[in-house]
Amino acid sequence: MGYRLGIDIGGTFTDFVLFDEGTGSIRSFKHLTSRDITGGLVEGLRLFLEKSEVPLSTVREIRHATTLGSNAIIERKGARTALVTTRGFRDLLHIQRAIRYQMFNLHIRKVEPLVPRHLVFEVTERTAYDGTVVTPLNEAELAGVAARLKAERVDSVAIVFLHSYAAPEHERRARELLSSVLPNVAVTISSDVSLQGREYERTSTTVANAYLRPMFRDYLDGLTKWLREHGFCGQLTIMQSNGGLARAEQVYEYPVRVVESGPAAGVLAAIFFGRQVHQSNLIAFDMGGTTAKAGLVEESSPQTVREVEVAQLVSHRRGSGIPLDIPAIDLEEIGAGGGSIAGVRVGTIKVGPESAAADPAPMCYRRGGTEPTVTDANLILGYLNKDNFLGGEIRLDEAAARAGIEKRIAVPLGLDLLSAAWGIHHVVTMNMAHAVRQISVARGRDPRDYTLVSTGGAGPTHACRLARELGIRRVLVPVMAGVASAIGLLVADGRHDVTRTFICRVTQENETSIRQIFAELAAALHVQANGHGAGPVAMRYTAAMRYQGQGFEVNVPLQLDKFDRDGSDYLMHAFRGEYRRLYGDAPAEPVQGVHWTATAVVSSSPLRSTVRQSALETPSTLEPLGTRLMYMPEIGGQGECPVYDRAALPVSALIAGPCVVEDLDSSTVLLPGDRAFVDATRNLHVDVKVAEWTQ
Amino acid sequence: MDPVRTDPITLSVLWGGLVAAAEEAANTLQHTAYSEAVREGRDFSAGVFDRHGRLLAQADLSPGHLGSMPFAVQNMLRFYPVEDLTPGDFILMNDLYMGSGHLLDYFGMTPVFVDETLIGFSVACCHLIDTGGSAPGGQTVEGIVDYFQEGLRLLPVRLFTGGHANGELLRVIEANVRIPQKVLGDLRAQRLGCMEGARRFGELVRRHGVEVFETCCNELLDNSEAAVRDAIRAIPQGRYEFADYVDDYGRGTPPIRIAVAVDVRDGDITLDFTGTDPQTVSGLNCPINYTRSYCYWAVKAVTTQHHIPQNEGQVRPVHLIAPEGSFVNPRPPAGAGARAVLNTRIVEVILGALASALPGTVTSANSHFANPTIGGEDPQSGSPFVFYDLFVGGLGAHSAGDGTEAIGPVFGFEALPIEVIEASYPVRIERMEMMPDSGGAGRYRGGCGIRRDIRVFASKARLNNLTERQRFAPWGLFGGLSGKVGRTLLNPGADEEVLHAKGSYELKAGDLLRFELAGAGGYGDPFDRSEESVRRDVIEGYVTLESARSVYGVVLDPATLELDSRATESARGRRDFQPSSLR
Repeated sequence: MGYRLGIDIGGTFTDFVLFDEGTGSIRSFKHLTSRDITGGLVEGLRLFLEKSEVPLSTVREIRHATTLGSNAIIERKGARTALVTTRGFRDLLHIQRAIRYQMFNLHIRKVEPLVPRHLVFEVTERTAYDGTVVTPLNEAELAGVAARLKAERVDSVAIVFLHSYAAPEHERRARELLSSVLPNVAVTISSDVSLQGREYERTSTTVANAYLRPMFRDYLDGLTKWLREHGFCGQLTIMQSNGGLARAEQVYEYPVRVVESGPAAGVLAAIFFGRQVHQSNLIAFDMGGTTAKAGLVEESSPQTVREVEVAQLVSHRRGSGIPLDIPAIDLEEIGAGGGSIAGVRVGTIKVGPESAAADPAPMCYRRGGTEPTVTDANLILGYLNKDNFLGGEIRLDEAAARAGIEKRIAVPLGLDLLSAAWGIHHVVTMNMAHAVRQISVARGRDPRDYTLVSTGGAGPTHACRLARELGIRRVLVPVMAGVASAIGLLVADGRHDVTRTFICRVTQENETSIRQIFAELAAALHVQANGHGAGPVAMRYTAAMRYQGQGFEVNVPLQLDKFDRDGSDYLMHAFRGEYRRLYGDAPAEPVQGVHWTATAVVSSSPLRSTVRQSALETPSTLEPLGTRLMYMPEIGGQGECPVYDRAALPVSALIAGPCVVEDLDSSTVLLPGDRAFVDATRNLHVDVKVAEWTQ
Repeated sequence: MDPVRTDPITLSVLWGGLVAAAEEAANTLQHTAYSEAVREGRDFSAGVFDRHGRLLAQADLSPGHLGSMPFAVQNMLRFYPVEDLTPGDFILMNDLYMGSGHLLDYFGMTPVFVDETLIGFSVACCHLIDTGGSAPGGQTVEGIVDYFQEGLRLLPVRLFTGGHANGELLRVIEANVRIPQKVLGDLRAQRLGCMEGARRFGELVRRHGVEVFETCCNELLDNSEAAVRDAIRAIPQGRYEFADYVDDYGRGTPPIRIAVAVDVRDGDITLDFTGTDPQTVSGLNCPINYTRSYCYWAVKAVTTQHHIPQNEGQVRPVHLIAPEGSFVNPRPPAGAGARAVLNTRIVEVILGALASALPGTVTSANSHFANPTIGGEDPQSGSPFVFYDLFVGGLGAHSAGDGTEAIGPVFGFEALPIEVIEASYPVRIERMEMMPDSGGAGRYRGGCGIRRDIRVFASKARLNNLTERQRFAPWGLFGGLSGKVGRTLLNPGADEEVLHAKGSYELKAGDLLRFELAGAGGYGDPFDRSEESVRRDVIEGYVTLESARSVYGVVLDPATLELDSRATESARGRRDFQPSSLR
């Protein structure tokens, strides 16, 4: 018996969650994220363990999610990186996909690549799309490039040759040659990182991986060294964007896979809490300071995608950032957080995507913010406790919020203060409803069939209204919703995906080849998964398929036993079922398989069934703390509504809206007609009275 | 509060919902499309309209479609009035004078109902890769005398009635296009997109009520119009003139003058093309809806820009005078298959005219792009193919910075991945790079031209070249120099042949085509460019050492690329170093 520790380094706070295997209880701690990531982490860890009176030597495992990768890309703090590519294509990174992401902006700029143009080197070689070699690799030229790389003192090199996804031999040979001349330089080849036949995205991903390798190695080495010196003898694992854990030595090779892993952990937490209450179809909804994220979960599995974009010049505008082809939990992210700025645009209220974040922060924080935000509006509406925000850490200034909303919204639109604040709250909630529709309705899923799991500091304030908009009847506000990502780390499994591109018609003749591919993928995975040690291994298979002639594939989960039994008929059936669900219609046209993926999940979560929050010593009572003036259109404007202390609510308590349930780091707003129930582990289950028009 | 007004909160929510409906229609269309041009190149668009045919919101995709879409909708409504439409109908039309100016753009429209009431339309437009006619891809310039040569022309027709396909009409289309699988696949995608937009649009209005929705529409459009008028009032009043030349319209033809006078007065803006040359006898003309589209583009780019989603209200203050029979308003049945190459040229003359009024906003001329079509028989499969290629150079420089490299000048587009092209067509792209010294010098440098080498493997293949700026270079502003002109070569080397930018050629297997795009214009005196910026351009390979010295007056040590301050000072101090071709 011992302890397991989850650490999620976010933009504003680093969250720590400690699970005591002996008692089954969990405690949490929030520490401001420092610019010196390692230093800040170590300091927070020391404080937390001291406070908890737990020696590091009794911690058996540390699981970790970090923004280190995306920060390094945004702030350009990665390694001095060079790109070696096929002759004729030195400008792949600079030409990009030529996307005009803002149509009418005459002064539009493109994202600066991670490798400057003078560090891009060409080598004569060429492979065709089907993998045949057109021009052999010119090794003499490559030797010349190696000399120049040496002279330029690069720390890391990316090698990307055209069509390497179909034939990786040239890239492998080039790596061998460069590594022999430059033993201390990390070399990444594109066919190891991405199998996508879209050269810009593959190049961008490979370059990002190369850019991050040296710093991740330093970081992990430094952290491991400190931990060992302070008595830690357990395992250190890192969360990947796909929601699975990787060992440090895997991250050395493929750091790009751990970029943006915190949000993935949040979805895993939602799945975990959903399981506790026997809900497997969920909409994981997380709202923090700058963004809101929504992810769809079916049968306790998240959806995954293969493209994320980081360092965007205009937030949430595809084409304005650096695309990464990595397996990631599919999240729709929008600029809608507590710090999102509200303003007026041609007679309407606009909220976000600009955010005041933690700096200058919402006006009511009194830290220099000059624009009204969602948090300011929520304060004016009476949803937040000005004296007990973040457990009293910040005193909120109502006058500042009022002044900002008056000046920027109410006066220009001729509204009174409360209507203006309500407008901000309503508009941002509708923006989030749009994001949820993107991951549900737009993919043929009816949100009314799902449970909304609300996490993040700002999530529970908007969750019930969001659910009402979408016709969702069940909202779950889990215990410790504010540190959900760190809890997600503790429930994560080891996960490895292997994808092979093999474009073929789905016909009887190709069944053998497809079976062969799945067998090889499974064999490759067993080798990787065994390194994880404990836990049984579950295999999952998916195929990316399309109608012959289309360019976008649909991911179809496959059951291998059915494929073995019914062959290509089963593949066709599974594809058309999914296609019909997505687009309403599935013509009887020829179908192609493109990417074949096997996923090994190594069960390694220490948390099995329930969690218990430790240090809850508040005496139980059903009595509200008091009442507060709140604004809700449903009660005809402003009225006195009860305020409950969540920590004091007894198990099995039933409360009814309109009211607010306050927690250390979040406030759950219940609307008239909503009813909430406190379960045995103190999760809040809300039975939402949905809007009439959604029924 | 004024009683006829909706409250701003409902207005905000409805507007957001309408934009979302258009975007969702676009997403569905793209994900179900078959042709590379639509699914990767994003040559399509989507919008939602009210029952009067007024544009309420659009997904920011192809402006050529979007500017024409309101007129296309009005034309479809003339044939299918509101009272004749039922749920599940899908009206299709590709007439170039009713639509976007060439037959390749198919407009589709589905009515949106709330209960029994028709409340508006969900509309999508797709550039189909072929619609029959004399040459694959339908963008031929030479040898065209009228649009009957350019392909199948459909006046508005009902492709679906109450959700049921009109199989007979589909057979007509199937029989008249070269690549029926992709064309019919894209038409299916277009309908799915329209249906998706209609569903979302209908839900939104059902929720708020038809009456509230209609009041909101008026207000939304009026407010948007007011915002544009405010922005126009911020432009100094006056009449601003500019003229530029399109290279020509095929081998042995003269240049075409496009003249514009931009009249800015009392919150209105009038674009007067009087003085523009007459229409041509070729596939290169600019039908009025296409001219309108890019006039709207230019005005939006200098007024509300990307800050307000486009709608009908914002074009109300924009007026056009385009003499009938002129190049920018030809009379049917003049051909116009190749008109795409004119989009940035319409925008550029307007920006050129406004340069003295809005020096901080406008840009110099763009690098231009190439949109060649290669068609023929795939030697592997034996079936016909149409490779509709599109690649772009850099933007013109402006008062605050260099022209951005390689980006769609005035349209939303995604470059087709080379690996996708090679897996789809019998071609190999052998080179794709920016050309040093091609961007016009200036205090801010114009974007570079792009070189693209394409090897063709089909034995029976035909090139319809379509590009511009091979005679008249993209101009600079305020002392900035012009970019280099572009060219097209066949089999570069000892036996190379210079191909005409708008010529049609038979190719043989193994032929290599080299496209060199023009560079964009610079902004401001090159001698005012910071020495460090010039040095950076040399290091990064955008400017050669020699040009740094001769054009910018910046002398660098050839070995170390360090700045030679004294030599630079002396070079920049000498008047005879000042480039002579300043405008």
